Amino acid sequence: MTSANPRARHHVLGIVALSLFAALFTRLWYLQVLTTDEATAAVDSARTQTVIKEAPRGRILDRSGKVLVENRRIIQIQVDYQDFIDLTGPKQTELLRLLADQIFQDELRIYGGERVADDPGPRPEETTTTTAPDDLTEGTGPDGTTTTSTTTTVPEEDANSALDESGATTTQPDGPFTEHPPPAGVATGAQNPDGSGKADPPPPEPIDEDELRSRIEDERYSKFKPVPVATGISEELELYITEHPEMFPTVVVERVTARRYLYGALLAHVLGYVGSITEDELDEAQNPDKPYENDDDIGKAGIEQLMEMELRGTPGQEVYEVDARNRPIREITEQRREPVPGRDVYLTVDINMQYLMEKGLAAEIERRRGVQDNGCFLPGGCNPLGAASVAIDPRNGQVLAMASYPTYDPNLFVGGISRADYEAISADDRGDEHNYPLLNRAIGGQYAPGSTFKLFSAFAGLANGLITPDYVYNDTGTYLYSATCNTDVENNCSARNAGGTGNGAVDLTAAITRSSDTYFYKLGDDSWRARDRIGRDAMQRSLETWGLGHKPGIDLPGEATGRIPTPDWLMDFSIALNGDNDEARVAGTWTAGVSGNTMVGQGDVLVSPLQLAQGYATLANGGTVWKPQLVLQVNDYATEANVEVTEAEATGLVDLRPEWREPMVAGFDGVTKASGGTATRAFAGFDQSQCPVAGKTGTAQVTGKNDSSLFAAFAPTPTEGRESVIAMATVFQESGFGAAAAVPLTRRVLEPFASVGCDIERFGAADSPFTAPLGGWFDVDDAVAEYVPQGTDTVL
Amino acid sequence: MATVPIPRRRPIASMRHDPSAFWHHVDATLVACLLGVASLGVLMVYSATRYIGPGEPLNNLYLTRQLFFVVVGLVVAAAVAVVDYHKILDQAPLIYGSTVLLLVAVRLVGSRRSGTQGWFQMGPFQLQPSEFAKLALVLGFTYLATQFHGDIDLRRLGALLGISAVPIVLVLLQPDLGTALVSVAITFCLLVAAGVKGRYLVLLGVGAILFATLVLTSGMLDGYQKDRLTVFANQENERTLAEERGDAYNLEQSKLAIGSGGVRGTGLFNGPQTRSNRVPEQHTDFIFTVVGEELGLIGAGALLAAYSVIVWRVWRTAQLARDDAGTMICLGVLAMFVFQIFQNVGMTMGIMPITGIPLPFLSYGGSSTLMAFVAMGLVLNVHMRRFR
Repeated sequence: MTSANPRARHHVLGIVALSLFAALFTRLWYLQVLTTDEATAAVDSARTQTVIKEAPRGRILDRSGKVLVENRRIIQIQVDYQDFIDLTGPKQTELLRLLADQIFQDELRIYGGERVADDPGPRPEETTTTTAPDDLTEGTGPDGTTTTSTTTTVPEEDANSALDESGATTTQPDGPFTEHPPPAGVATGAQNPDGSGKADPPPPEPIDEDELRSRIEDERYSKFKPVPVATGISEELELYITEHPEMFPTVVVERVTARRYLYGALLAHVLGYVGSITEDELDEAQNPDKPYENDDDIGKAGIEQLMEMELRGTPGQEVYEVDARNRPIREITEQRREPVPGRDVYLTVDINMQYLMEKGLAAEIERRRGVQDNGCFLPGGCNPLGAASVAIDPRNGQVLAMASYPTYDPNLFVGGISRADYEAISADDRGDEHNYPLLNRAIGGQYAPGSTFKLFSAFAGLANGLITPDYVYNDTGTYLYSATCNTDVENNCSARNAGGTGNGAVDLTAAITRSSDTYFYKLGDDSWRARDRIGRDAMQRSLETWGLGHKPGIDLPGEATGRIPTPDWLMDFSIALNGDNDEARVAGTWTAGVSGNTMVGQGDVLVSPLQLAQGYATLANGGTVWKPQLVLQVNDYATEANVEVTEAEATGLVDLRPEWREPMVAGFDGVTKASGGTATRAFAGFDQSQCPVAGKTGTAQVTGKNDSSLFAAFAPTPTEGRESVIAMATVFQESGFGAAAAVPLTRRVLEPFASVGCDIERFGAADSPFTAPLGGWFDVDDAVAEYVPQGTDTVL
Repeated sequence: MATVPIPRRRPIASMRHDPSAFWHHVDATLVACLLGVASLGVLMVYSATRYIGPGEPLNNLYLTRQLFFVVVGLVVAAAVAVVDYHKILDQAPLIYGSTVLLLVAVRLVGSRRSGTQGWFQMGPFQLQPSEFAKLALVLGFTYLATQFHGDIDLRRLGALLGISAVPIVLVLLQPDLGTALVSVAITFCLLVAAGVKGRYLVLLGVGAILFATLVLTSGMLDGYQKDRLTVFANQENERTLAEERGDAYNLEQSKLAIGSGGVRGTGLFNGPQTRSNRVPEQHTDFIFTVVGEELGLIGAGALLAAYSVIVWRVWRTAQLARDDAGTMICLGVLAMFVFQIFQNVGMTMGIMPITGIPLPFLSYGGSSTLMAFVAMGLVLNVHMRRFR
């Protein structure tokens, strides 16, 4: 070591070693101090897997606690679209052929009763819901962490106790229509789109590859999660498919939670339905309290939609620390959240009354269909397009029953409605043949009220001092608007009573009882003559407090506002319709004749059945306009805890003086019992000793159409210290005179109700003689035969 | 140089009374650091291997084996330290020769794992001759270089390079790139220590760099080896799925483990990355990630400090050595340690390419642990006999 200084060389080596260690320290500092937060976050998100525990959706019950909607589990075949399109063409075809064959065979066997599709028990290997999430499919949650989901089943005992409560001792039917043909007016999809009631359930249609392919490619389903292709398959098929994965690549069989509508189509328009959440809904409804996953269900219509936040359970979660192969190492128990079931919604509706109402609507429609009489004068007779009825409690606005005909079976939507079925019940281009089963006519339909409007006319006349209760008018059958009327210029020189005959001398009470049109024509004429003194729209303004022309504010979407025409409105309407020209101005000119027509609820007057019921309820209770309510209370799931009762809410107060109200009530009371009452014959034999019924018939006449039949009623008549507990309004489109269809329907509901003393609690009690059967099924022919009204064709 | 005769045999009975006896000059600091680092290694190996799968009992197989290796290593190190290193150096041709034979044999009949044929399977254990080749290289080089007494012309330089080249080429053939690189580092350091002229060193350095470039750009290396070498340079690139599963994934998980440890660490047995077996090869090449994650900057820093102390003591021993042979042995060991530590730790932190070389005393493995102890035994040996 003489050639160089060895010491210096050693020092160089030492310095090199030192600097290498310094580099390591620096890098260590960088990683563990400067950038440690990013690393920690990355490790945290990768090390855990969150299992979302779906919470059961709350149930929907009627006012007496009978379960209307609950949860069940069904088996669904799904195809993973992304994997499916990766298959080769021949493999796709072969898979679809096999699958279609199996599904069809399964449907045939279910049809033949060999297999059962509904409500499978838990899988044998699924002992608990907290098993390790090894085999769960993964999804990516909104926060980017890996999530999986399982479903917590409803505790068995809860479901049972709920059923016991409702007094149902029979076993659950498989579905509402597996044993029976659908009742009239229930659209059950493509097989029976117009609800004719004539369709026996046909044997299942063969399914071919093309059908399956179209289901897979149905654009209503996201392609990034498995697409449902068959719902409600049997456990046998489930087993077959899961045991032969090599035959069915990309196919998965899932047990999904679905809604069960225990009463079939009953109350369908109120209950609504649930469906898979769409991306838009996900964006809109996403919330931190009850977060949605992208394969969750959400309420799409009716109470299911409006009470979504109450009905939806709070999903729970289990967070597992997982190893590199995503196997759980341990549960991070401090991050565990138990799923909280959604809350139970109790409706104000009584399902027994609902059953009577829906059965009655179908029965009266079928009874009137094709009948030729004075109300149905068109060739072919009555052509009832639809009907609606609603009953509310005048004391608080609670809806006791609400029905619209035709209706649909919400069970169709369970597990995803097929395209053909949805088109069959929702398409709006099928017109009269189809009649829009999805439309809730009780709140969304608006109809000329006919003589049922005389309640409002009478009040307006009294309020404006144009009549007094004691004023007597001599009804000759014809009202002459003006002695000097030139029939060539004015088309409304005179107007006749419907039916043409005079009622003689009538005061307000008699005019109502006998439905004297001329009395109200004169009132209309007088009001128009007095327009300089009281104002051009004085009559209409006095009706504002009744809520007419405005949405009543029920907790359902699709309310109609109705229409109370005013002179200004008529002119605007005519100009908008015909253009700004002289002709339109003539047509839009308000005259005494228009005024008279308005007073009898014809012409341009429109009300919804709910508005009508609300009006008569206001009369019955002495002047308070209650906001119609559907939700009675909300409880925690299957408990009596945390009860939130909906308070009654007044939206208006009508100055209904007793000296006005009493003669009016007397007039309505006479309609069903007095000699000359327009519904007296239809009410013949109705025991009104306990619960007398007051009401008003209506016959809406539209040129070129059959008459529509209306009846508004309230009971018991609020006289002699009684208090009305029900107000009900019914409309039958193109079914004849008011007493022809609407009155019999009202009787079908109120007669049983009166037989228990008009006591809604007794009516809905477990021992009620009018218990609605599970499934809501009835035979229309039997229902028609149950009650045949007599001699209704000559009375309005 | 050495003219004072070395006393050869002493009666056993007088051992403890002789203040000049070599065992009175053991480098206690070095021994303490070795014991500390090796104990930590056992613990870290256990932490990295105890979890097998959900519901399974903890695995202590690696714990007991590594403990066994450490104990054996201590015994062998003591044995190596006791025998005068001159005697060992006398046997250098034999050691070197048999190691070369082993390297040839392993190329022919050795076990193959992940593309490398470098093991003899001996029951449950694997013998890795390339580990011992590094030490054999040090001894062989030193043996030859001491013959030259610092007077190295080109022919002698060629001989020295040749003696290094044989094991390096054999190791490269396995191919075990990491060990070959360590061997190159050792050779370079020994050339410096042997007194090779500066200009030769510069030329050799330039030549080595040119050679490395040539190797990388030619097709001599397998694709995967090239990836391993270059992945650290491409850390910011978008990762493909294939890379995800390979070295980039490995490096990413490794850096996450160390980074998430922070200053204080997650605590022993409590590191999410470690506990979930997210870092591949964690108990061997990536053992430093366990230290980084579970013991944090404090633990990892202390470990690096301990290594620094070891290296310092080795360097100091090189200064104190009685003769050139002792100095060169120590500097060879120093080069081996520094390069392996820097390469291994640097690799886990993404500043060095991924090459499969173990971290001395920490990584699981019989051959590497034994080799590290033997190397330290040699250094202790030189230290104990530093007085002329």
